[in-house]
Amino acid sequence: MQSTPFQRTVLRNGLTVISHFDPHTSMVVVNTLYKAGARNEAPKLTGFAHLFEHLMFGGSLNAPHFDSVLQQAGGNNNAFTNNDFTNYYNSLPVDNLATALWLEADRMWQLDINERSLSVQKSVVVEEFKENYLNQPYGNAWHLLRGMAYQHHPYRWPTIGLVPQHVENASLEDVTAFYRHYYNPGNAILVIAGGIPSEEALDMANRYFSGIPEGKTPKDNWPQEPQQTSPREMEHLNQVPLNAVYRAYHMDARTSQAYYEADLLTDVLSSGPSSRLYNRLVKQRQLFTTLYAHVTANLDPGLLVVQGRLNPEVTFEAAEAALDAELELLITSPVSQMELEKVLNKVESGFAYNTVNLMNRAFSLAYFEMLGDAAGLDQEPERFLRVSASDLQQRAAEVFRKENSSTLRYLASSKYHSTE
Amino acid sequence: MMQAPPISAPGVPNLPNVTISSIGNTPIYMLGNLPQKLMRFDLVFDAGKWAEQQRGAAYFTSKLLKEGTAYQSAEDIALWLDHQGASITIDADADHITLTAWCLARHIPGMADLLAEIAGQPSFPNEEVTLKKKVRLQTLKVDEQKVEFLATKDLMASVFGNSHPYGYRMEAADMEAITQATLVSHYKNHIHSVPSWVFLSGHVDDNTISLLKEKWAGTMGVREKTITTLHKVEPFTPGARHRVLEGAQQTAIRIGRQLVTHNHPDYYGMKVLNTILGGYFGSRLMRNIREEKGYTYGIYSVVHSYQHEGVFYISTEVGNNYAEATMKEIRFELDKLQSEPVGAEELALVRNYLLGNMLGSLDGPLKAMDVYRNLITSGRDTTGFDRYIQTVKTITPAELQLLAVRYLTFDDMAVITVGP
Repeated sequence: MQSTPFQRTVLRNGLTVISHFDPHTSMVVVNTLYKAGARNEAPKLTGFAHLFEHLMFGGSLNAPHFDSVLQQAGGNNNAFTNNDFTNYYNSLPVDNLATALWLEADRMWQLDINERSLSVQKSVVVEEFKENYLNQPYGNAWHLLRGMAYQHHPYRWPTIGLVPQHVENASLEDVTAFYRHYYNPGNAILVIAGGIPSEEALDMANRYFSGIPEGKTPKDNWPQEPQQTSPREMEHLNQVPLNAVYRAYHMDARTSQAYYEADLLTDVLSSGPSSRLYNRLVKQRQLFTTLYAHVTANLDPGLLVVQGRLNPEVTFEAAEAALDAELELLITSPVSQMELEKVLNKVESGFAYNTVNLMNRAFSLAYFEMLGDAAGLDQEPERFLRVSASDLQQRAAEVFRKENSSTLRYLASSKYHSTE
Repeated sequence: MMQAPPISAPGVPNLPNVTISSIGNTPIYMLGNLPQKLMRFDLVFDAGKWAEQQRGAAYFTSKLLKEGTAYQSAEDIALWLDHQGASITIDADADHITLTAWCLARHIPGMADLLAEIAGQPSFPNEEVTLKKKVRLQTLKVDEQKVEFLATKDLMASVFGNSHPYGYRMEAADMEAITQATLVSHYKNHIHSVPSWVFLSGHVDDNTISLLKEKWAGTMGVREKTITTLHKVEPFTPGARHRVLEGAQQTAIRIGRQLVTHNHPDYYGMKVLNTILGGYFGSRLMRNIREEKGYTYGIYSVVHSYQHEGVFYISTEVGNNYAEATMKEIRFELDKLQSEPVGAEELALVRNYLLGNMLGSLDGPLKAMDVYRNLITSGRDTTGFDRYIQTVKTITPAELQLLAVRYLTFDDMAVITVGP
């Protein structure tokens, strides 16, 4: 297994800096992960962490135009937010590493938060809300599914926010407080990966970031989700052409060994063209046109979700009965040696493919450091390889209980008509 | 406070040296030296929409090619791929069908055998054809609820004409008319075990080529190039067309026209001009319509050349009540490029950005082969790359303004909107 060597230092202000040298490239990636995600939001101000991600590009005290400075340096950049964290990444020729570090340090410390920037980005985010959710067929499915599976925990709302109004309600005071609480060095992980020797990279990071004062991040204080004790279901009618079903089960947090077992269960179910759900329910029995299972991989206990669109003339009853039978089979019968080997091979080769891309490596190091130790990246394959067929059975029995399930039936409205 | 670090202009990107070989009439290009032990095959056939005798033939041939051969069923192939942690995807576009295969280095011999079988003896089983049609039809129903899908479809029909291979998008009737015979015919005329090009990249070397020549001898044969119809575009009529999608929460806007192709002296200049207008995050359109006005989550422009025709278009989805204002701003930006030369500073930034971008695109054999493959399969050679770099480095504001005057007149374009 290809290893991802790195060096790590922690600055006095709490910033964790990781450096990974790749002598084969003349590019460098600067990846900054902040442990601030949708789960850190107040229930009346959802969508905030993501809105804030937008504001991070609004300019800082010494760099009024983040993007144009980076573009001048021949770089590309972007960011994303999810329920657990926000990640910023820049890729540029290694000669201009200092520029990326300077930019990231300046906006970590002295972001220019102003009414104008806030007003415009609110508008942009509302359009994003429409483009990716409100105006997409089935676009609100995860709003509904999350709200059903989680009744207390902040995972009950999606990263984009519960409703656009929450985004529109954000005030300058709210934004400034969020910045102070979550965008400080102790709450961040900086990774420098590429054609720069580690010593030099850590040195440069020290130069640009050690002057940033320490901050204070509030303790995690959101409600944990109590155990679900009975099945939940919901029907929702909307302007879509086909019925769809979404089924969510509670599962363990990302760092637990149980996570790996659940993840492998979804691989058995739908990883690749020989997987069970595709072959049996899409190809052979043609109950669904699409059907797949995946895990949300969250820091707090997440979800295992199966979702699919039903073929016309197939009832929810028939589709769900077939799905239930497949999940039941994982409980009653151990997977064969051949099938276990197959999914493990796919996981292993997946790691090999993932390590090729420099940006992937940079992000992965930050991500695993967030989980506890960047060295965990190279230990990942082993955590999968130790899973046995009986482990999978036991995990299936634990996860695929009816009392643990939330089912959303998404109904095609009879008012739907073609555009022709 | 820390000063902004000095910025080095990105170095001149260079195409790496590609090893060229051949088997029969098929050239083989290779880029090795990837430390990770995996590789990628690209087999490219002149079998895209341009070559069709029936609508949808290219698409469905590509999707059915690996769903069964003379010796193996679709399930056999799927199982082998998943078990080896390998994958094959086959896509059709305007001009080509491209088969892309990934595998670990130790599976190259097995993959080589499988590729010869897929390219040489596909069986297009009837049940697989029926299933693919059914699934694709359902997907179309969902797509027809998306403003972005309908707008792009209407744009291409406006620019090239609905009966031109570049201008049409499959309708339900086209899909329903596909039979096994359609695919067999398309395959026999345009694929028949003879790729037009083969590209190898990753952990490969001369031994890989020798192995392939050995394994493919007699299978990758010599076939006379099939003469395909020369399709003429319909005369283009600029003007506005609106399509109603009830309940749409955004309006999709596409503004476009026919343009020159790769080998035209104006092409690379237009690529640079396009970047300034709407080809990156700091573009005129993004800065105005997203960052200043907040009308949209994203607006961009594209200059693209197929093998036989070129196209230019602007693309965005905006809040419904911003549609008119957006149109006004787009016109304003096009007019501005025609009436005012681009400033030196902005041009310098775009030069650096594009060069840095290209450096990133050439980072490592896998990415570099993408660039190379694009050049070769579009009918160009490495001089095309040199011309692009030269243009980026040396094009003047006056030259850009001339191109804007020639090609970017708002009233010369088709203006497509899809909204409530």
